[in-house]
Amino acid sequence: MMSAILHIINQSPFASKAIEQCFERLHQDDGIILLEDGIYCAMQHQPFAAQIQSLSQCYAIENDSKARGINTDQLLSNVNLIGYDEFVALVIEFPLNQSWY
Amino acid sequence: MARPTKKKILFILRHAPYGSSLAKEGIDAILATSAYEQDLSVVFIDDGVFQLTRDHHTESIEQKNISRVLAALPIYDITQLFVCASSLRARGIDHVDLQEGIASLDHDALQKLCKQQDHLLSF
Repeated sequence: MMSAILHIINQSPFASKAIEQCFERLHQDDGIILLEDGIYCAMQHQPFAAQIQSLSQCYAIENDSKARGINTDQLLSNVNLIGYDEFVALVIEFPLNQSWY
Repeated sequence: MARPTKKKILFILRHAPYGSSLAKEGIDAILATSAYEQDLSVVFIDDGVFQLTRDHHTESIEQKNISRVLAALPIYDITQLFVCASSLRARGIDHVDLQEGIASLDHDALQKLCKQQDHLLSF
């Protein structure tokens, strides 16, 4: 059995290796959700933009993006902005969740 | 009444032992969970591999010796202990320099281990 994992990232790509270490172990069926300072991983100008862009399932918390003054045109095009209700739904929908901090 | 089936729970430890409280909290969570007789395994990845080296002397920094607690895990019937081979390589650590009883996993085996679980807990 190969269950898909929802990876949860709450660290900036400039301050932490969390996103890099997550990508080292990511499976193609897996998804990523970006929250808190992890939202900076969703921006176009950051070291892992190409890898984020290649994901079929990438989500980010809209409140955290707005709080940091990030406009949607600064975000990578495949990032889906979601609210807390959808976050909870994703956590339930994926068989496994893994936090990286 | 039938006994509930055991859950497969994997603890993922990815932080060095003494720079933050995460390693200690991870081990406390493992020991607490062991009381519930579930199917536990533990994997050390990234900086978590530093928890497995030998000869920690923590008296002078007034912290609990994590490697000594880890060495005692088999007493609590926690015997499925794994380490990420590429994390060891990246840090120049040889598997023989770790404490005993830790199986080394390559990338594919690690991914498989994660995806076989019912729950993942990260520290």
